[in-house]
Amino acid sequence: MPKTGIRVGTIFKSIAMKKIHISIIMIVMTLTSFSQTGKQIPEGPCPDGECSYGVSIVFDQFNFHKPRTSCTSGFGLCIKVHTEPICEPCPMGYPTPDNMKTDISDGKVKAWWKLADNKIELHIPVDLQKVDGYGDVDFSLFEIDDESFIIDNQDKTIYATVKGGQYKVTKQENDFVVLLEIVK
Amino acid sequence: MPVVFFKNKGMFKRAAIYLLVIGISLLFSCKAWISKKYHFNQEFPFKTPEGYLSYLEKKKGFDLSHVIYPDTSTLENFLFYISKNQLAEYYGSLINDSTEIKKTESLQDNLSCMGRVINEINTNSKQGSITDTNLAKNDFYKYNFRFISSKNKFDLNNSPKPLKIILLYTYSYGTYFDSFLKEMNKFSKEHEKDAEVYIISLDYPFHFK
Repeated sequence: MPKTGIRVGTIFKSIAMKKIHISIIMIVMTLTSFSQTGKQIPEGPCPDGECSYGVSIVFDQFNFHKPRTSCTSGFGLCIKVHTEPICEPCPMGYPTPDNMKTDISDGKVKAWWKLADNKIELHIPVDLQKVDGYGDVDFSLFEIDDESFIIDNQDKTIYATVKGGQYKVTKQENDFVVLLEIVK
Repeated sequence: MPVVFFKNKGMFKRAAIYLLVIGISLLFSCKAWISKKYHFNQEFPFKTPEGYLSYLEKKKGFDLSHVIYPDTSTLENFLFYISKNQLAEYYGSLINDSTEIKKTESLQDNLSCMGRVINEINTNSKQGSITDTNLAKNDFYKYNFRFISSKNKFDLNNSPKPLKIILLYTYSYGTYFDSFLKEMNKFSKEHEKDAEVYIISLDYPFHFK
């Protein structure tokens, strides 16, 4: 599976579609914001956007005493090490318990997506309908422009873009779920 | 006076410079030398679970019925715990899945020191050593594990033995902890009635999930 990232285009063609674009932008803003927070208070073994691919041993320090003497006497080699995850960018749509949660807090929307059957499965929190300005929005249809949603490869080349159009929205527990067609 | 051993001050200065250079070289080359000697962070060579399990059993002497691995459902959280607590080969000595015997300050200072870990395990296994004052809460119950051989769910509380010693293992450890693992095999046999040793494979979920 190729490793990818995601970016969202800024093409706005009509005022009517603005709200849905804003929500997409909010996703990105939220992800950026979470990423910054993550650097200060890490909540997972890897930084945001990275996944663990294994573990490695990391040197802290060593001295020339024997391990058998609890590293306090004798002549030998005593090493202080610890185990750390090997972190690399997550593969495209890699689902982990941490990134598979939607949420709205402090006016920020946290959404997530994954690739499923060559489509993007986008999850948006149902509580979005309680947010100011969304009260009278029809959430049964999700509308998006061509190239508003671009999936990048790790080398920043484009892997796929979402096909613009109207998509039916289903509800799964606390999420609105949209299956978006992609164009490679 | 050191000058006594040298014919003149020039020779002494040169010797001092050599020693300094050797010292600096040692400092920078030791990590590389240690890594090479103990095969730290070596590439994982096994293509099949069978090959890996055979290695654990035959080369490392593990009793496969006591080797478990973190389930992917809580793998990230478990790794975070290990990394946050700077753990190496020793996870801890547990009474049940939410209670551990407190690690001493000496061990906390170097959790990878095999001598300190063995001393601590031996102390913990002595009768009467477990008291309310040296117990602490542990998050083990938050993580899901499976037996490496059967893939069945692992429940630490199913063990009837009072002491459960949990070790960590990854191929990245190379051979550095081999003598410790031998000691633990011996310990396991000597304390068959009162202690159980479980080894968590950190490799399995990444290579054979």
